[in-house]
Amino acid sequence: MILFQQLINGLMLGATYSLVAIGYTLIFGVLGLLHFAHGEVLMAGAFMGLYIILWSGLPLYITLPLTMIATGILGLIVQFFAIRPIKKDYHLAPLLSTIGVTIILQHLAIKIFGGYGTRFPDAISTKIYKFGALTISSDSLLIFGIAVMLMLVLYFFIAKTKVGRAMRAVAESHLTAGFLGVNVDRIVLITFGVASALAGAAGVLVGIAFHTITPFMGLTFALKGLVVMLLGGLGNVVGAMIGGLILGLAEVSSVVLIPSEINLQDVFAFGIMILILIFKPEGLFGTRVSKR
Amino acid sequence: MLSIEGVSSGYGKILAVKDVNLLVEEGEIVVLLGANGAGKSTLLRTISGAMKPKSGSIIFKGQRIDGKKPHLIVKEGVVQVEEGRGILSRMSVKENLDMGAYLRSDKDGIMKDLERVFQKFPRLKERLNQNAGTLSGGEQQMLAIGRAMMANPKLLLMDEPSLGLSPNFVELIIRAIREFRDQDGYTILLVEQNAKKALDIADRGYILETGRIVLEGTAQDLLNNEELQRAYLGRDAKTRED
Repeated sequence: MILFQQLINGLMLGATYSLVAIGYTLIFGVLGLLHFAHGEVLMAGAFMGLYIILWSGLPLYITLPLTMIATGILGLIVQFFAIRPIKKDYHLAPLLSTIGVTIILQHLAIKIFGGYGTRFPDAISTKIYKFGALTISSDSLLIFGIAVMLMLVLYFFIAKTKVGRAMRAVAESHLTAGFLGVNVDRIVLITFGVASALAGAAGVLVGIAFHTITPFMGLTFALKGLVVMLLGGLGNVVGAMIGGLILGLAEVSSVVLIPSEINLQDVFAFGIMILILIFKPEGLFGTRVSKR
Repeated sequence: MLSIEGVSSGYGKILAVKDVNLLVEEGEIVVLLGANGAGKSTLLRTISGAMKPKSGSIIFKGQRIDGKKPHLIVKEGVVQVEEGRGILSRMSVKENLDMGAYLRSDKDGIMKDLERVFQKFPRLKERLNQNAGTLSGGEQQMLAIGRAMMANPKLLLMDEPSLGLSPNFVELIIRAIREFRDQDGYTILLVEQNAKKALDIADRGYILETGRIVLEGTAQDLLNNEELQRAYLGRDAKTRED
């Protein structure tokens, strides 16, 4: 029973990883760039959500979209000022620039919010549902539900809309997309906006799940999002969705299987990453990303 | 219709195209011939806006288009079928064709053009929901050309459409290009390795050598040109590897 209990926690945790990883993988898809500052966008989203709730007392269903819009705009700003102007001919330059953004965002957050944990307000009144020996909190259901809903909306957006199709075209080839009439720069910008909005949502959900947020939380999620992206296959959105859930489940299983005094959750997560890199570098659901 | 005046272009400091003058009149098929690395693809990419010319000007229908971004040039009606086909391999055939009409919103016109594509290449209709990456080389070329038709082009730039195709497919593609001029009213600038076949359907031609135009004339003159026969049309014609 405790395993089943943990599985539910794992799905909740994993769904937030998925949201982060989808953003990573979208950006990797269109630019071939590892957007290192993606975790900091999540952190920014968590704090934005916190202050929206604290100052305005708005309910979650308004706070969440507002936060997504705000982090979406943050993503646009990052792309426009720190990535777009950089020449792509210098291989490491864009990556280094995103690392610079990471440090800037983190230190700004420390200056503004202090370098310690801040309690995330209760966005919803927590109810506990009991099914026999099984207890599920309304928090976890809500987090999982919101994450899955966002993923479905995103999936529809990418699969069925004109902009989504253009994003896939740009991910295959900037040259071809341009020859088809796609404004490649604009689509790249939109991709950053969408990815950052998802990271912002993940930030709020993480705040609700863990009750405490810090300016340092970005790195953990940036790295785990990276693991999930590798797990799902670079540039593969559905892979990222499933990969997040797998990592979440794997982490909580490790908590169940290994005595909790030794906290090996992260050893587990990054051990998985190294194993994937060794045995299946294209990811579990690998679409190989062609370099042109 | 298209007038290229003194255009030089290339990556970095190396100029692959040097001071090229070239003219395409409305309703013509103009063929651009030249060996590998002569600068043919560079010139087409420069016309389409994927590369900025280092100097010179490109005028389409009386308007300068050099320096414009690719999507704006497509909007003007200059559509390129790129070398190697440029199929979006992770999308279905239908989605590829839809992408061809990306800038259009005239539903009726799009439907009509889709029917025209199916008439020309019935094979595409059979493969409509198939992943484009699973098509054969010839089918992919049909898709690339069909996709360009969906953009309702005025000037079609074609970069080696017969490359790597079986003789049957080459015939099919060549016939399609001829019909584009005679029935559909497209103007065509065609880059080809297959000089004989291209000149047979073309009105005029240009020969590019290491970035410079070294010869130009009517297709008939070029077919009869001895020097050209030796270089491109003769028995010891250079054949291309891939």
